[in-house]
Amino acid sequence: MIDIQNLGFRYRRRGQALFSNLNLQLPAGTLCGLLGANGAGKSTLLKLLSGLSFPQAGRCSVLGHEPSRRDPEMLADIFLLPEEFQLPPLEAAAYATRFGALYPRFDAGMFDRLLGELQTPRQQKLNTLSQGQKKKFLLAFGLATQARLLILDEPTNGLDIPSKGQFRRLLIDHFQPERSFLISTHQVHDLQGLIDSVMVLAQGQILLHETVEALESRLQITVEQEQPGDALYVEKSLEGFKVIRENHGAQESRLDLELMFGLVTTGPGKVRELFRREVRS
Amino acid sequence: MSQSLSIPRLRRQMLNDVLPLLKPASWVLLIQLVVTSLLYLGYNREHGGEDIPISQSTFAAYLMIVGLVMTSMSFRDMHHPLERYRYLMLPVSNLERYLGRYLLTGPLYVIFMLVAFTIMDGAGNLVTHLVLNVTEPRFPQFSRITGYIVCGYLCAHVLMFTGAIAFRSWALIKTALTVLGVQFSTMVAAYIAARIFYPGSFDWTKLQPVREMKVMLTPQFDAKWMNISVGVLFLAWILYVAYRCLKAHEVQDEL
Repeated sequence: MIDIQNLGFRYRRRGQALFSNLNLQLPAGTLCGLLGANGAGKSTLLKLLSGLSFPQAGRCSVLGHEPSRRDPEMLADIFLLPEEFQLPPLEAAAYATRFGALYPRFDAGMFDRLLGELQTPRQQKLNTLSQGQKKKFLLAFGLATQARLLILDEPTNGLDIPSKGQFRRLLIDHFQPERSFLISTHQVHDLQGLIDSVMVLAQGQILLHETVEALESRLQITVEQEQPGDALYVEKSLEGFKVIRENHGAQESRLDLELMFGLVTTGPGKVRELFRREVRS
Repeated sequence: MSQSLSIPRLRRQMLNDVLPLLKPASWVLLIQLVVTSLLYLGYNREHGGEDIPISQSTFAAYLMIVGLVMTSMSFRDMHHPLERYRYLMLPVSNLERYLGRYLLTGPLYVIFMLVAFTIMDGAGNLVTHLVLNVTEPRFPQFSRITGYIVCGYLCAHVLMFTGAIAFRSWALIKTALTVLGVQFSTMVAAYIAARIFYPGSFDWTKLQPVREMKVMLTPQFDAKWMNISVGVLFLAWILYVAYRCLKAHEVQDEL
């Protein structure tokens, strides 16, 4: 679905390259979380995938198309929910008529159903909705377009607690084997238990791209009272020390995304070595 | 369905572009209707003998002012940090994006204004007839002068359309300054070239030539069709540059 090879990109006003030789493959049927610190280039990567920005080097292919060409066929199959956006002064139905008409598989019935599920006001002008309501509206529209790739940039920012639950349920309900969701966020807790693979972006590279299953089978997370010396990563918490160790005995362990992010960004070599060893074995 | 141009997609895209304009356009037309009536009422008929009747000069002013302002704002959503994602990610091709807005702000706008101004002219004449019991000659939509006005607008429109794509903000002012800058530079370059190639015709103490310049190569642009062809080709090239600009437009800031 997404194939990026040796991609290079830098903003013209910035001297330093944001990405150089970035490689990434994302198959269909994935619910992938994209994690990274501020300024790591998560939003830029999403813009490159959506054809909003153009790479200066390398190859970028999305659904078999080069995003920078902005082919209508590709654009009908991608939906981007940006972090910040503005909606026109229209009611939901008018918006759907006007913009949904350009998406060949737009399902007006599904859109109406989703608006109901998300309790988004139908009669109110979209520009007067709160940021959270706008996000829910656009998410409903994106799902109704039946695009095969949904790119969500900080989708849970501005959502209240019940809405976050609705958001997770919606994504799970609309997940299909031929469809992929790529979710970039700082709110790692919102992705816990939702995603099936994780990508960590730092230093202009994808430092880690693994399935949650693989991470859970290779890493063991425990809470201990004493700081251990043999851990891959340790973080102090109220309960004691949160520890990541290599999972030797294939014990069941639930992935803590925040802790794993800390491990990958502080010692990327350790994780890489761990997974390399697994591939060799 | 073609990736570059599909008529149903183009039609839908144009409809999407027109619908938000309906309300502001109605207000502008209403204001123009009132202004036209007032202009016709206050028109000094004693003066007489002008080359262009009041209906045509009013039409020219409306066509140019409203058309160029509208054209300068036609790609505002493409440059707006919070709106551009929707415009650039709509499933239409670059050619359809380009053609849709070109047709709406150019040829279709001209046709619309010809019809709208005929109504305004009729209303203005009705008011002057009722108040002053006089009428002006009807607006000649198909006269030669109206044709020149329309051609003048279409030429200026090409430049403004390109400016609207190329400049992120203040497109009207920046385009006007760029056109003036290019014109001025061309004149300066021609003057410097004349001073270099015809040193005998100039004196160092005067700006103007003191003796006649003996031009060795007379440009063969005597025939009118040749001048028109050169102009049309130049405008076609500008339109092509505008298309390339739109195609290459990308988000280059980190917002």
